[in-house]
Amino acid sequence: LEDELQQEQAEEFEAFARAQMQSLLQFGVLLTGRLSDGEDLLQSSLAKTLMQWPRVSRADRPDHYVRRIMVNTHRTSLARAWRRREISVSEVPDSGSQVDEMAGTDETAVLLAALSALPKGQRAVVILRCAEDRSEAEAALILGVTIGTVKSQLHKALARLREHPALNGDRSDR
Amino acid sequence: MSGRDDQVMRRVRDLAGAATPTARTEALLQGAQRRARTQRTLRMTGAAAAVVTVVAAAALTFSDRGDGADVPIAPIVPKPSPSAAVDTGKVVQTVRLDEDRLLLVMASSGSGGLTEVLDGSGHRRRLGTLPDPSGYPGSAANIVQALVLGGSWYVLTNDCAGAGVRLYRSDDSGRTWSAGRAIGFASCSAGSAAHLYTVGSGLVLVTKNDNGPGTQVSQSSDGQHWPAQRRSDNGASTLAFQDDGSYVRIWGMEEEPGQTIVKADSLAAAEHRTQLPASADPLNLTLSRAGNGYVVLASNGHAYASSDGRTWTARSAPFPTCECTRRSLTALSGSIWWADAREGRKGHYAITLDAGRSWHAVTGPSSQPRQSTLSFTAWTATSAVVQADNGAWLTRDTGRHWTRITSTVADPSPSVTARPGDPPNGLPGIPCGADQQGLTVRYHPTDVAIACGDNGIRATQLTWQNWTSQAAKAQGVYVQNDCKPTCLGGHLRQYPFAAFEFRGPFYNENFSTVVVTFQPGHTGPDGQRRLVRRL
Repeated sequence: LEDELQQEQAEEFEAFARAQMQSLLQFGVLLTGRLSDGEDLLQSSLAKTLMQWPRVSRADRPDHYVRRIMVNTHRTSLARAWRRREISVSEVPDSGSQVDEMAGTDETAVLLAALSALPKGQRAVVILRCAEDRSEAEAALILGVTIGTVKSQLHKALARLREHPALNGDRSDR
Repeated sequence: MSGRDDQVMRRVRDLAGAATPTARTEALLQGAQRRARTQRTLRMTGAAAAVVTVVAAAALTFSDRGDGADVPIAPIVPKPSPSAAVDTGKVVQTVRLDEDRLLLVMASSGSGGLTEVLDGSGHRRRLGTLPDPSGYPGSAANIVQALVLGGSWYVLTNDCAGAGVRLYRSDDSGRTWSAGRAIGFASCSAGSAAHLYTVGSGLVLVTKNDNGPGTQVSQSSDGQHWPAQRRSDNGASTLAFQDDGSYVRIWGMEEEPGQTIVKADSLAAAEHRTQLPASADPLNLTLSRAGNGYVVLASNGHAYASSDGRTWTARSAPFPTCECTRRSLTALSGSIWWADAREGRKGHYAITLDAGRSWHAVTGPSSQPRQSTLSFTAWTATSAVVQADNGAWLTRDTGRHWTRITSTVADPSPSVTARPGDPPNGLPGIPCGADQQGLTVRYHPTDVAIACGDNGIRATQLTWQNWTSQAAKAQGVYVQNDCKPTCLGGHLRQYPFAAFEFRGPFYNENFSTVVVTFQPGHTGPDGQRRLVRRL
């Protein structure tokens, strides 16, 4: 019976992961600024989710839970980096000088560069509020902070993004 | 929210909509499942600490002159020569110069690095000394590699205290050495490395620094002109190159036991994965170039040889009866391979002269202090030098008799010039380039890298108040890179602290813990009052 239950949960997780993979990957890429790092972040976060899946699956929005794991994992990655060993990748790169696919277009590169210049907390708020068009309450729920924090972080982030020539109003109106 | 804010938000939304990568769903999903399985297994077995560690194979490459197949070999039992006059110092690297001669690179008292040539009759000739970069005494003693290419000899050093990765060169067979030239970032943190490879008539430098610029590669055609390093996305620091530029490396992930071999025709070419035979335990593979081919040792003790990096043939195990961990294998020349492994605190050693078809046990010196460790070996047709804990040993009859050529007994009178920051009581400091049995050059650092090989987190302007074998205490300034927007473009922020302490017994050139206590009313970069780092 336990095996059947585990099998059922594994299938349930797979279905969830397949359905959410695209949007979660986009979230990861915007958070990290690179496709390869975004994939790695997503894979690590999905592994953590899978280990807690019986509890996660009972939540109203498991995708919120995964996003919070991604934000926290990304936030702590620098602190743990000094003890990191090999870089983890899901597949062997095809080339020794692989170019990041996400940097393929100028506009994408501009966005990633602008986001990368923000502190990690502000970056997460901008992605949730602007790129994913979530409400302040939803962003606060995902990040585990108050709505006031979301507002203030977004305010600071937008003040910095306004200085970016490719993101200010003049450019977008053209 | 202002209208301009709305415009920026819309702009970000539009750009993000265009930046939608195609998810490799199956690969990502399977990878996540593998990682979760691994984590569960590690938790269940209580072996979380046994994550995959790539034990770097020694990066020396040797010219393959003679396979030594005709040389008889007996079990090697070094015997001390009681009347032998020995020098203090540690043979850090040995390089086979030709059939008869070995180059010894030594860290010794009061000097950054000595070089000698040892011939088959046992005669040693002192050569030039590696000059120390000013301000960093002993940095040249942090010798990580030596090699000979064409008419030039090279020594690579890696100094965490600030001198960085430096390359010394001699064009007159070691009589004089150039001032060390900085060619890379210092890499001291866990998992970091610096390796120099010969590729045809040129050199390739690979440095790995997880918290700095990552893994970087630089290729020099003449060993003198080094273009700026460029980032290598494969993250691997241990490779085995052939003269045509093709290479083999081990691929694996920290969280996921299971490693495979990757082959590529050049640094810019596509890589191809190759599986080892099913009998190989793909944990902790060590890789070495062997002549025109490669050799790999798996953690279950089996050795594998390949001529092309794709097809692998099993060879006999060097340690058939030992329950060893941390095995590694180095090809000293084409068919002479050296294997070592750990069984608890005991070391096992074996050598083969016929490319792994038969192995011979090597026994360490009889008077081994504490840990039995033999390392840094190089063999000619008749001579071998082995560095043990109590000195370097030479054999001229393939192991029947041994003579100690250097002693690493504690130097009774270290010749060190006092530096600003040294404590007045003359207590021992950090020995550079030697273990505590072989204290050679001692100094008290005024600058300590706490974490990050790029010196991103460090204590500086240190003034030492005391230094014992159990702890050391200093005053100074704590500095941390804020990594905004990136670690390369970040700013170094200073935080005043009340005390900087090393704690834990001083062993193997390190204390075990760093404790930084910030001044009352001040906190560290993350708001903490005290910072503790395991070293």
